[in-house]
Amino acid sequence: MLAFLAMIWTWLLSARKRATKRQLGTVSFWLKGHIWIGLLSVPLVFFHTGFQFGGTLEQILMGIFLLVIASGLLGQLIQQYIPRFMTASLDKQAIPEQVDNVVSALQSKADGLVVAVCGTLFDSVESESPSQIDAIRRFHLTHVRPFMDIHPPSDSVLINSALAASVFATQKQSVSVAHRELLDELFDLCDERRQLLIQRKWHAILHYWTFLHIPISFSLLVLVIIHILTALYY
Amino acid sequence: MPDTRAIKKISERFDVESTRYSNAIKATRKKLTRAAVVLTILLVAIIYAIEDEAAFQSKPVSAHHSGFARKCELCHESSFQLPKQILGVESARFEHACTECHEQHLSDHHVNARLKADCSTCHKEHSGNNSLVEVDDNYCVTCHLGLSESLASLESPKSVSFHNSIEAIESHPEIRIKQQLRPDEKNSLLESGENANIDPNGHFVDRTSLRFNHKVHMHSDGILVPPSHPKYSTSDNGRIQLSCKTCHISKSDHTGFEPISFEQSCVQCHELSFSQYLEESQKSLSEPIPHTTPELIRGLLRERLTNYYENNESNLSGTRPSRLPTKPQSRQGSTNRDKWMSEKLQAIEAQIFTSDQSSIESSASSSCQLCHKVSIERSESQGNPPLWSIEPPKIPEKWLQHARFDHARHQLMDCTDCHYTDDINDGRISAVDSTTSKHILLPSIKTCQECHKSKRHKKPAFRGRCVDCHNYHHALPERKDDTRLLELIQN
Repeated sequence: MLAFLAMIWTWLLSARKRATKRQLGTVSFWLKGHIWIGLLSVPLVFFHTGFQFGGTLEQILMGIFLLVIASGLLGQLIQQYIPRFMTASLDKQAIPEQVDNVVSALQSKADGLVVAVCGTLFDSVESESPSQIDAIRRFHLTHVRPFMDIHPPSDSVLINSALAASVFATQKQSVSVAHRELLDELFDLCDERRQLLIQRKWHAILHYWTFLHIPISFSLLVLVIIHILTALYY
Repeated sequence: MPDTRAIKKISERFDVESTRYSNAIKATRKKLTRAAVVLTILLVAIIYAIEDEAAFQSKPVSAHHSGFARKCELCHESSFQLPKQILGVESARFEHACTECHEQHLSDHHVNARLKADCSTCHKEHSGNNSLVEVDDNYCVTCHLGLSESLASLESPKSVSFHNSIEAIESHPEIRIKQQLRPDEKNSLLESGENANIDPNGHFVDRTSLRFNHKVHMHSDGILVPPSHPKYSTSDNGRIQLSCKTCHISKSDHTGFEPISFEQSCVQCHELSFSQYLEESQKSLSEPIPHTTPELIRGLLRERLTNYYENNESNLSGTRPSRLPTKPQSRQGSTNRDKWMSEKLQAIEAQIFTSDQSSIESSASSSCQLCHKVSIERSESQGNPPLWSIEPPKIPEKWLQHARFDHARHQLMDCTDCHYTDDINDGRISAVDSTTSKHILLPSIKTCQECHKSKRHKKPAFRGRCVDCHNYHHALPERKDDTRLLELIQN
C-alpha cells in the first residue's frame, strides 16, 4: 500500500506541472519529492513482493517498474550534468524552439556578408584563373552555406571546430588582407552555428529519455490498478 | 563560458510566431503515452485470453491443487471480502474453502489456539510447487516464543517452563522425558497415559514391569543359545552375536518399529517349558507352552494333565480301570484324579511362574518371573491352586507423544548414537550397556541439535524446522470422501 501511495505521489508531478495557477509548492520541490519518493518505492515494492517476481502479470509489472526506475535514474543523471556542461561549453545558445529560426538568420547574414563583398552568390562560369572573390564565393557555397542549413550535411568539414579552424586558416592564406575580415566574420557565424548544432543534440538527450520514462510510467499505472483490483477480487 | 552577447542582438532573432507552434517533444510524448496505455491494456487482455485467471496468480498453486488451478472460485468463494472486512461490512468473511475437502481445523492444536484467521494463515498457497504442509517456523514461533501469558490464562495451567520461548531448534528445551523435574513439578507433570514414573531425584524412569537387560543380550562375546536355536549350528561355541535389529524390526512403512514379539524374538532361547521338573514318564506333558495369560496356561495344563491321567490312570490311581466303558468312574477315582491334578498343577505352575532358573548356560527353560512381575491374585484355597497374575509390561508403542521421528532417514547413524540414558552416577549409558529396563533410552535434544540447525545457521547443517518433527494438527482424521474433490475437478 505504501508503495502504491509512493507511486501516486510521483505521478502527481505531471499534474502539478499543469496546475500553474495554484500555489501548491514549487515545481522544484515537487520534482525532489518525485525523485526521492520514487526511489523509496523501490524497497517498498521489493518488501511487498518478498523479493520474488510472482506470476505473469506480476513479472510484467515488476519489469516495467524497474524500467521506470532505471529510466528515471538515467534522466536524473542527464539532468544533473548536461545543463552544466552546456553552460560551460556553449556561450551562444538559443531558445531551443527558436534554433531553426536563428539558424536561418545566421544563413541570411552569412549570405549578406558574402554578397556585400562578392557582389553575388552565384558562381561564374569556370574561368581559367579564378579570382580571390570567386574563391571566397566558392568557399562560401561549398562549405559555409550548406553548414548554415537547418539540417547540415553530416560530412561537413565545419562540424568539427578544429577542422573548421584549419580550413578557414588555409583559406585566409590564399586571400588578401582585405578579405580576411570577411572570413573571420564567416568563421564566427559558423562557430555559432556549430554551437547551436551541439545545443540541439544535447537538448535532445536532455528530453528524449522522457519518451521512455513517461509512457511506461503510465503503463505502470494501468498495470498497478489491474494488479490491485485482481488481488482484492480474489 | 558566459554568453556575452547583447540582449537586443539576441532578441532580434526571436520569432514570436513560433510560440503558436506545438512543442514537438511534448506532442510526441503525448502520443507515445496514449499508445503505451492502449498497448498495456491490450497486453493484459491477450494474457488473460491465453492463461485465463492463472495470469493473475502470484505463483502457481501447489502440486496437490494443480488439478483445479484455473478454477479460482473453488477456493476463493467470494470476491472483495478483504476490502469489505476492512470497511466493517458485517457479512464479510475472508476465508478460503479449505474445509470443503480437508477436515483439519485451527482448534486441532490446542483449545486456546489464538489464531483467528483461516488455514491460509500458515499454509501459504500460490508459492510455486512447495508442499503446503511445510510451514515456516515463524508461524509456530508466533505463539511459542512466549506461551506464558497464554497458558497462564487456562483454568489449570500446564507446563509453562517447557513450551515457553522456543524460537528455533537451537532454543528448543530438553525433551520432557529427559528433564529433571523440580519438586513442585512432579505432581503437575504426571499425566494419565504417561509412560514413565519419576524417581526420587526427579528423573523420569520407564514404568514398564518387564525386566530386560540389554547388556547381557548385546554382550560383545555374544550370548549362549540352546541347541534348539536355529543358529546354533553356525554359532561360535554355542554363542551368537545379537544386534538391535534382531529384536527391533522396522515397520514396512518406516513409521516405527513392530512391537516386540516373544514368539519372534525371545522364544528361541527362552522356551516356556518345564520338562526338567517332571518325572521321566511325564515328559509327554513337557511340550512348550505358549506365551499367554496365566488363565490360558492353566487351561492348557489342565487339558494336558487330564489327557495324561486318562492315559495313565491305572498307574496313577492304583486301581484297575473299569472294563465296562459305560460304567461310570467311581467317586473315589474322581477324587484321586482331582487331587493328583491339583497337586501337579500347583507344582508345575509354581515352576513356570516363579522358578529362579535364569541361566541359559544350562539350556534350561525360562520362567515367567525371569522377565515379568508375577504375583498371586488369589491364594490357595480348598485344595485349589493359587491364581497367578502377571502385570502387563506396558511397553509404549510411542515415546514422543507430540513429535515424530523417521528412523529410515537416520539409517546411516548407529542406534547407540541416540539410544542412551544419562545416569547421575555413571554418566552416559548406551543401549548396549543398559542393565535395566528402567532406563529410558532416548536422546537428549542436544543430540538432535548437533546435526539439525535452523535456517539462520551459517554453516551447512541438516534442517531443523518445527514441522520436521511436530504436527500442528495433532489428531489427523481420515481424509474426507473424495467424491466432492472429483466433483470440483470435473465441473
